[in-house]
Amino acid sequence: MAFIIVTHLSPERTSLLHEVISRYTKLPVQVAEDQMHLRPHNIYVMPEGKILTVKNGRLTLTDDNPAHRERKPIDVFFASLAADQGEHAVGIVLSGGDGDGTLGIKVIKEHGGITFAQSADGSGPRNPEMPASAMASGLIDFAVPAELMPRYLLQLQNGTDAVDLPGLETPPGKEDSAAQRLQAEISELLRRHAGHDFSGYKNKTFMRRVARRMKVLDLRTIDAYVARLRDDKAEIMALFRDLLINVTNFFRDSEAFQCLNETVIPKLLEGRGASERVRIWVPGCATGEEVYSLAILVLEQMEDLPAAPQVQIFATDIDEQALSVARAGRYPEALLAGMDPARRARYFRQDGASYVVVKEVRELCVFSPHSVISDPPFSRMDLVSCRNLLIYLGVELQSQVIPTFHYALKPGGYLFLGTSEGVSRHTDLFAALNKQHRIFQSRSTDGAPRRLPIGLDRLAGQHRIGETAKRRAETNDMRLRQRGEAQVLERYAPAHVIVTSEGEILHFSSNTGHIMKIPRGAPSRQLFDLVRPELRVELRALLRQAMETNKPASRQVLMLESGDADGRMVGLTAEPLDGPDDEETLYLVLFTLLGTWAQPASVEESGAIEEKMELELRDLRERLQSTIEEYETALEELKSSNEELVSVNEEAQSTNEELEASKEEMQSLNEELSTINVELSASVEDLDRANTDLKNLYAATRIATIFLDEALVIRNFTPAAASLFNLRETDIGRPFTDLAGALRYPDLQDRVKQVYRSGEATENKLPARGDGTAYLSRLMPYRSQSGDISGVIVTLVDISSLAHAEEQQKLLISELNHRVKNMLALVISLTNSTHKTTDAPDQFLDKLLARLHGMARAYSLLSQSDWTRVSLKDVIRTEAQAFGAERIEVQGPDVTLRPSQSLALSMVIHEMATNAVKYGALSNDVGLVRISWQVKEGRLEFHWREEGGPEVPPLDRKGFGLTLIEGQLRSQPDTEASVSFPPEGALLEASLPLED
Amino acid sequence: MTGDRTAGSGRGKPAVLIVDDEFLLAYDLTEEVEAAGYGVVGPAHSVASALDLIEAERTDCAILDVNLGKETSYPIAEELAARGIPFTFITGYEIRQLDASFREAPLLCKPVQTHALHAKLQEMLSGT
Repeated sequence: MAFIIVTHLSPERTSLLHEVISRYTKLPVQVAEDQMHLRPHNIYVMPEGKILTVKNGRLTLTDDNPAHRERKPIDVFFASLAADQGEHAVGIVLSGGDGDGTLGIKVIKEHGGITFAQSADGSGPRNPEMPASAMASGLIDFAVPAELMPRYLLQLQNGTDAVDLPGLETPPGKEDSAAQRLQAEISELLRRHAGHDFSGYKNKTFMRRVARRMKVLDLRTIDAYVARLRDDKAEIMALFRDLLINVTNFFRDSEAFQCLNETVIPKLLEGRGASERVRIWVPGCATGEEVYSLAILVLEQMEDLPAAPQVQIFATDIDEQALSVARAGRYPEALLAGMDPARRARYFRQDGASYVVVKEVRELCVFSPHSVISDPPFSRMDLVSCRNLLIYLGVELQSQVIPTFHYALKPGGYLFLGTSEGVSRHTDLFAALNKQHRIFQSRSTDGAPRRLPIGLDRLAGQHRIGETAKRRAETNDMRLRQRGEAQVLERYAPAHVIVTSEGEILHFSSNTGHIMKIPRGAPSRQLFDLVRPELRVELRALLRQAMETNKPASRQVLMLESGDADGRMVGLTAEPLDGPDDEETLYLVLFTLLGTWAQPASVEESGAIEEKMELELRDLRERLQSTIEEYETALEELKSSNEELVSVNEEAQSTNEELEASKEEMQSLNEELSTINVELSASVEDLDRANTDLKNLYAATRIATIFLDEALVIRNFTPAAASLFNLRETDIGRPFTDLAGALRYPDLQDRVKQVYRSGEATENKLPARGDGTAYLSRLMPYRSQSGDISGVIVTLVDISSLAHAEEQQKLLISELNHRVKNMLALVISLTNSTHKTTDAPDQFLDKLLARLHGMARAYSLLSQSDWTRVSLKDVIRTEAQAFGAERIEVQGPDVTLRPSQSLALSMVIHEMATNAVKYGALSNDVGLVRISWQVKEGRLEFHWREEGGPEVPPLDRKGFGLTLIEGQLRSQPDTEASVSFPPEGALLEASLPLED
Repeated sequence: MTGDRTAGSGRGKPAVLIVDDEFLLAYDLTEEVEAAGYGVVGPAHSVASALDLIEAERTDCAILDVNLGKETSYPIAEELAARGIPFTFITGYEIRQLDASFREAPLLCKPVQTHALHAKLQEMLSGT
């Protein structure tokens, strides 16, 4: 066994099926390649985007047309497998959508292969449509869960040659009696349960089908099988279906069709107007190939005619499943193999790897369930085409069916049979038009009325199949009897006719001449038109009575011979004709001559009365006659309305079929759509999730981003952008350039356009706005998946704090520069001034260093307080510590000073202390410095008093120290200062403004 | 040096107005200017006192520290410009940090070097 796996694959997605399968099996799994040899114990998987078929034991791959993808790859594959492998093919339909595989299963079965479908169990199939459709067709041998399939496959493999059955090896022409008995026995079972008689089927065909069923059931003996049939009604139906399968093909036997096309069809169409109908019947149409072949032939010829008649092809079969396939008119390519390509192009529409019959062909055909054997036949046909049905029927059934065809045909109508079929002994009904191609013409039966073929009662009547042989023996006896009876009837029986309930004559006996009178006008078979006028009223009444009572009714009537005073009495009898119950009842009307009616003896007085009565009677008759005529006119009208109704009915029927066909199309489309829908909704869910992620991301970044499309119209934006540009949802779809927010940055719009043109990202700072916020704008091209620029992404990042910090930093650096320069200038000036006012070099250095250290202390104090305000006490304490704090008394409230004030004051204190150490209170061991201050009216009143020092010599007013002390203080705004040297000790008085 | 200072108030010498809030700098600058043989007006430490001096005394040119504590010397410069008296700024700041209207004005950078001061003084006075 080799396995080939065909699946419905999306051509866009790479299939990994072979890898998945190889995990579950030890058998080698490979992806099918073109021209690969099939080897036993291998698994082949169909690759995506291909159509897989089998030919001569090799796999064949063809590219699937992406525009019209094959919707039925499994049908296509099965068809090729069946043709290639015949009885060895096994088709397995597993889970899948749509009804793919069903037609393929049929082809496999036609070729004698075995079919499987996955039935539902706890775990599958996940998508039951495909196996369900295959099972509904009734063509599945094994409907089992997937786990059980291997067992049956092995069973089939082992049982292939084990079945032993009589009748299979019988040479043609001979009959095996054991096989005959078996067929009779099985047929009887079939007839009882399936209502169809197969006793007449060819024994070999019959037995082959039985053998196939035995193989499926794993039964090795026929007795076991018959026992099974008796117990199992389902098996009876299975066998019944198998027996009905037949192989059909388009233009099967093309020469015969060619002959038909040349000789028959032109005649069918010849001389018929557009309002006339051509009726064709195809009994046993199966899946419709023969029907469409005929329809195509007819259509081809109709196209050449200026005013073609209406053509109706009635296609019938007892297999409803086959009919539904026929109605769909969709076939795998394998079935169209032999067809002329031009014809195929003209009348078929390719749909994937299958072909669908075009509408104009389909419209000619009407499909309906009907049994040619047991149902009443169609009538008034111009052509009956019944190919390859008779070969399945035995002689008995054949000789029954042929007259049925004759009945169905108009006189001169045509019969088209299969190559191996014939009209056998019914040469009286049909004349061979072309013997080789089995084309016959219906003979008109020499004036004899058409008869409903006997034997329609086979199923309803008392016959048993076993009696067939006995009946055959009786046939000879019957013939003699018929001949005798015919002669008796001819000569001695009363004149009679057989009529329908409407009075239409179906049969005349001999000797009706004196009863009938041919009327004027169009020929008619209407009894009441033909019979002599004086009989009509009575006859009508009698017929009605017979119809109502269903019993014979008779009456006597005087019939007047023209030109003769005397009339003849005629006995009229009407009675129902014996026949099967379910058919139209026919009536037998007998005319018995009862002798002449003598004129009564001449009596004078009675003469006048009689004459009067005679007149009256004539009057009445005339009146009656006119009533009858009115009645008949009404009847005619009714009849024509009835005909109209019938034709309307036929139209409705064909419309119904079309509806059914389109319903099937809709269903398969719907299934496809629902599969796609499931996929779509999954993608939509994914998209939704991704979308939500994105939205959250947008919100989380707090970065203003706007997406613009090709026309620079807003496609999307983040919440941050909404607040920055005053965007609302309604702004999506508006041009970016229209935005009030964007108008504040006209430059931005130009740059957006630039980025869209060049495709290069840019980045720059936007000028700061009034509220001090600053933004960095980043413009990136929006690239679609293909890499094209399909818009621009505008991103604005808030860099206000960064900008502010930058600004601050610049300020600080320049302030630092300034201070450093100032400080250097100060040091230079100090050095200069100290140098100029000091004579000794060693003193200069000491002085300078002391001053610089004093400055350094003052600055460090300032830097400790971050250059804000400095406590006066701290200033004094710092300086005092450098000169011995214990002899410096400090007294005053807490006061803080500006940096410049504190610097000035600390330098002043330094100079004063230096002076005190050198010449003043601190130059001896007992002197004291009292520093005190008060706050008065927002001013600081500062005092430096020295006590206990040596007597102070008058100071050089122009000395640098004094200049420095007074200058430092006075150079401060709004500040007074004076230094004096009274004898008790140096005195500094200063008044500084205090900050409020 | 003492002699110089006495001569600084002499009538025949060109009078240079010195404005600087920093006492030591003003003092040193005064010394330098007087040593160079000019008379010194001031030094003034604030806008108000400088304007008073301009009003009260003859001033031939001026050296202005830009930053005077809480104020700047721009009002003094305006007054001087109005009177047609040349002036030079001295500052620790860069030139671009000056008020826009005085960016063309002559400028000395702190710390001032003596020869640069001399050149500037001559330049100012030769212009008048």
